[in-house]
This record gives sequence, C-alpha cells and structure tokens, in this order.
Amino acid sequence: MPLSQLILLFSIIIFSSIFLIYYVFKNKISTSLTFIWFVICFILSFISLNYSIIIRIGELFQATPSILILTIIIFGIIIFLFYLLVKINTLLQWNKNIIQEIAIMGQEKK
Amino acid sequence: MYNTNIKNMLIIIPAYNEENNISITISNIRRYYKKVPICIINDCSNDNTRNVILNLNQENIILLTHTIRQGYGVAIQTGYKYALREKYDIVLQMDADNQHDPLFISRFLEKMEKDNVDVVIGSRFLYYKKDRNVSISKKIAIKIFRLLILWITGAYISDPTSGYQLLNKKILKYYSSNSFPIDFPDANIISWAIKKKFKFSEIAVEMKDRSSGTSMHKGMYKQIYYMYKVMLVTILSIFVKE
Repeated sequence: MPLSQLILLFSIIIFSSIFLIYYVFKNKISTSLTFIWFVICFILSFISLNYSIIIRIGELFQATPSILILTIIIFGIIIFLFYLLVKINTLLQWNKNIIQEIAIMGQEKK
Repeated sequence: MYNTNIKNMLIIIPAYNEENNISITISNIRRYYKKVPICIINDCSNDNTRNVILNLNQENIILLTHTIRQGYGVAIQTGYKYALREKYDIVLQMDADNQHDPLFISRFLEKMEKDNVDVVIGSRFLYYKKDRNVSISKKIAIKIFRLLILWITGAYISDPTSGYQLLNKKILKYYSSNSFPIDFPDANIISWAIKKKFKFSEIAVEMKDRSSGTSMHKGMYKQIYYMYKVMLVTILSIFVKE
C-alpha cells in the first residue's frame, strides 16, 4: 500500500475521532457512538495486520483517478455523517424528554 | 422517627425489575419516615414491579412509569424533573435494591445544612475500615475515578459511584438538562458539576449486599463499556469552563 494511501486512512481515523470527541463534549452526539467508532478502529487496525487485506484496500484506492479527489469525497461523507448523527441525537433527546413527560403526566399516586 | 428538615423533601428511587426488593426498601424508609413522599420511577420493568408498588399498603407513594426502557440515568432524571415540577427543595436518591439504609437520611440532611453544599454523597469507604462488599473490578474502577476527579477538579470524592445522594434544588436544575448522562451518571457528572462550581460533601454510610435481582453492571462487556464511557466524559470535563 503506498504511503499516501496509508496517510489518507490514518487521517480519516484521526479526523473522525477529533470530530466525535468534539461533538461528545458539546453534548451533540451520544458517547456510545465513540465507543462503536473506536471498536471499528480497533478491528481495522487488527485486520490490517493481514497483508492481503491491505493489498485489497490498496487496489480499491488505486481505482480512483486521484487521491486528492478521493480525500475530498471521503471527508465530505464524514462531515455529512456527523451532521446526520447530530440530528439523530437531537431526535433521541426529544424521544427521551417525551417519555419522561408521559411518565410525569401519567403519575399514579397512592 | 425523624422530622427535622424533611418538610419539603422527596425520596426518589429508580427501579428496573425489582419486584423482590422494592417493598422491603419502601418499608424500611417508612420505619423512620412515615410521611415523606417517595417517588418510584419504574423504568419499564418486565416483571411485577409496578403491581407490587401499587398493591403496597403505604401512603404518599408516587409511581412514574417509563413506557420504553431508558436506563438508570434517564430514570433518575425523570425523578429530578418531577421534583422540580412539584417544587420540592431537596431530593434524596437511593437504590431500589435495599442496599442503602434509610437510617442515614437524617445525617445527610444535617451535613447539607452544616456544610452548605449542593450535594451530599453517601460513601461506603468512609464507613468501613476496609473496602468490604466491593468486587476487585469495582474497587479498581472507583480508584481510577477518584484519581481522575482529584486530578481534574482537585476535590477528593471517596465514593464517586455511590447512588445514595442528597441534592438541593440548584443542582437539580443542572442535572435536569439534556447534558445529563443517560446511562451512568457517576464520576463523570460529579467532575462536570464541580467544574461548574457546585459544592459536594460526603458522609459515611453503610451499604448492604443486594438481597436478590441483578446489578446493572453485571457482565464483562457492560463493565468495559461503563469504564470507557465514564472515563471519557470525566476526562472531557478538563475542557469545561469554570
């Protein structure tokens, strides 16, 4: 795998991790997502020990016309994914607040 | 029976599948406090918890039921929101598994008044000379959380995982926001609150063994996830502006 592709893969992981931590700090993304993300990173680093998988990933990247365009596309997808995750988290917060509201409204007294 | 300073206090108890413990927990509270309102948050239990509560021969019991299971953090927060809505001044939170002895409630109240703090935490480590009743994994986790809080905030909290706490209205408002952790409100929320200038204090309490049912931290995956999540959010409190 060429060095530029390795750098790309590495920068995607770092970039996404920084994004995730920032959004967790701002309370816009659930902490559970970072757990899932780091498990994915762990599996990725584990399978990268297998050289044939690295070659296949390399072939996949070489299929694109330019590493620069690919970088822009992947980073664009990551930013869009984060946008979606923030929206989903907002929906989950609404859902939580509604369930709490229903519980308080439907209180049973003895 | 104690009656001092309990005029506007609510006891909140989150419960999930606690049909065998909840009646004993409530009876124990009623041994000391006959009229203090007790709010139980039933987090969508799939056993007989709800019916056991409704069939209790006790007064001043409020039952809030989540229609979908939300986890410990959300359940306890529902109690906070209820307390604020009903204009209670202080809230005592305790577990439904009968581990917390209500005998100590008066000491919580005294400590809050004496130290003028926002939260009083019941610490088992101030009570026992040795760390009794605590598994090795939990002991390690508590030591790590203790050190993290000390390093980040400079405050020493001997039992940051204790669910036996007395809270005033000021902190209830902070804990009712969307930033409150939905599953494990432990060292992470303490660290954030201290950085936000809320005052904490501790008293020695006895904690018994769980008589029946299962702990929410049971299972290796849950323990790893719990450690990861609490540590990450605790460390992030470094960036909280004071």
